[in-house]
Amino acid sequence: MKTAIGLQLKGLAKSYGPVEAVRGVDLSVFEGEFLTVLGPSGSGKTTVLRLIAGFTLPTAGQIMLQGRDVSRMTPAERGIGMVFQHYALFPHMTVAENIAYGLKMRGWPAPKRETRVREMQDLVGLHGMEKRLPRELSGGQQQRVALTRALAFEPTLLLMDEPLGALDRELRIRMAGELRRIHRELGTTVMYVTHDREEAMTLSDRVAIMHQGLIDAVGSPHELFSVPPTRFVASFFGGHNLLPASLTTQGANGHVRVRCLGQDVEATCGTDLTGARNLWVVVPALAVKLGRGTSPSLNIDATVAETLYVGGSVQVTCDIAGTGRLLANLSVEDGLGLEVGSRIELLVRSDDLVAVAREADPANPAASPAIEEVDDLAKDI
Amino acid sequence: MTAAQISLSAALRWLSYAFVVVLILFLFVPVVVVVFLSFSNATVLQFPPDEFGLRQYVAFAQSSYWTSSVVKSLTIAFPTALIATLVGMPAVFAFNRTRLPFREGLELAGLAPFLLPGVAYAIALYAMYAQFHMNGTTLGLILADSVIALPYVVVIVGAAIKRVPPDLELVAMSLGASRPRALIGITFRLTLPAIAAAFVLAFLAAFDEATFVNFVGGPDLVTLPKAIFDSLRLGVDPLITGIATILMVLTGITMMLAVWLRRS
Repeated sequence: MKTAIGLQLKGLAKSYGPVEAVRGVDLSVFEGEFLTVLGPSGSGKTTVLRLIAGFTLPTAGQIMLQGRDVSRMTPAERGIGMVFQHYALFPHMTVAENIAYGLKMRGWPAPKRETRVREMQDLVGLHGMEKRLPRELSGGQQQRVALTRALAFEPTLLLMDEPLGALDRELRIRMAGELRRIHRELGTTVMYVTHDREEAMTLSDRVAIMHQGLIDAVGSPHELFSVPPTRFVASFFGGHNLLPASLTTQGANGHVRVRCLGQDVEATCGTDLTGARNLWVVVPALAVKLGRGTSPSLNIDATVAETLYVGGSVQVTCDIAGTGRLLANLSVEDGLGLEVGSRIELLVRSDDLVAVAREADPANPAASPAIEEVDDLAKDI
Repeated sequence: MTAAQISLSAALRWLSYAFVVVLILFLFVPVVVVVFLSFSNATVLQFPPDEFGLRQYVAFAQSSYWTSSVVKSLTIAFPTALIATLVGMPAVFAFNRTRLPFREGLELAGLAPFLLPGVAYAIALYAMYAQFHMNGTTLGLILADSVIALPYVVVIVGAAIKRVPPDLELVAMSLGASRPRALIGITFRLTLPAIAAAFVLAFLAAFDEATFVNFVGGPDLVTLPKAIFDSLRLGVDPLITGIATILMVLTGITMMLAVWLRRS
């Protein structure tokens, strides 16, 4: 059972002159939990990490580590391990010296250091590499050294700043698997920062979505994907379509009736939408089917703009007259034969629809649906 | 391509080869001639020499005028290199690792001696030293030379520290090192070869310096370059070819040392 809180941020804020990088972050990370802070570049996630590590001091707020306030301590006093994106291995030290550095700084006697270095090498499979210099290692091996160096002194918390960002795709997937295994074996509390939602989705117990210096939402990957509480979570984390809608009635048990594309449909909602007149209806690309339904569902008339065979399914980009674009992930038998420019009928079961408030995100006023915005974010990253 | 174009491009290629060859000859022929002449036994400068031998080198070693000037140059160059390194190194660290105000302006000031017209500066220095009775003193010349040696440290150590990612110091601190320990154990340690190379070049700059010594030097302050200038007034002594050869060999060796230090 995860109940004890390992790390707690209370109203954490950081300004650089007039620029507010972090604007009051409240977040709790449980002991042994793997929590990912996900956000686009410039969202403040790296600043949060640097504040926790102690490389920079907060303008306001507190950082509690296992109940003690570390907000004003030096990095050394905090006892937090950190892995950097570009590994930051000491180029003049061998693998063994790199791993032992933290132990030496913390006054471990030499024999104990040697035993620990060997243990850490076992953990990540770096046998026979102890005498090598970092430049003689591959990217993946360097990453393993950086990880073991940060973990060797048994920190209460491990911070990771986009540690897989510099690796190629295949190696990234392999290292992600290894990270999961090491976390399982050691049970260290991990705070991981990335802009890659796939990494966040596959690695984390919980994900905190950061946007413009604030935490937008926190939850398990499944919660955030299936019932996104905000428009930003729906588009950035889920990659879902957004269709404009208005609230008809706020029902009980997280259900609402909304008016979307001229139809009255029922949808789920993660937050109470009472008072929010303008909404987005979140439509996952996977939930869009070909055909016309009689059961409670949203019917969509669209024109095929592009089809893309992605193996196992077909990604169809459609134009909805007067509304914008919609991405549909259709089965191969439904999607493969579609002609560009042909008119099609689509439906989404109302169980798959989620409503989010439009006002919740003043920085991104109502525009075209999500697909294009996700592309913009990808460029930004 | 037409035949005319082909022949034109071939001609241009030959022209560029010829240019390179002329350039190399222009640079190296005087060097070769000086070394060649230094092994002449003649008492006047003549080409080609009648007789070969080590006369110039023997005369150099036996002349207290020349040997004392070499000793003087060394007693100027060592402290100068030391001062330039001790002043330049912390400055470079401050330029690159702090939020010092006016950082860029100060860094430019550190390079200014490279751009300064040496003679104009020397005249000003002469006038200023006159006020403090520092003309003709060893200390005065060391301080003046330190100014022109400083940019070597700023440039070489500055380039080295820019190649050390600040993340290395941060990671050392997260692993339990204090800020001074991280700075010395990681950043300083990694720039040490460049610091040594900068010291060597600062030493050479001071050893070779010929402008300031003519203004702020004096009868008791004759460095090797000054001794060469003074001897030229009385006519060309072939001994100078021997000194030039020794200087070129020593400079070549120290330059190679500096390159080797920076690479390791």
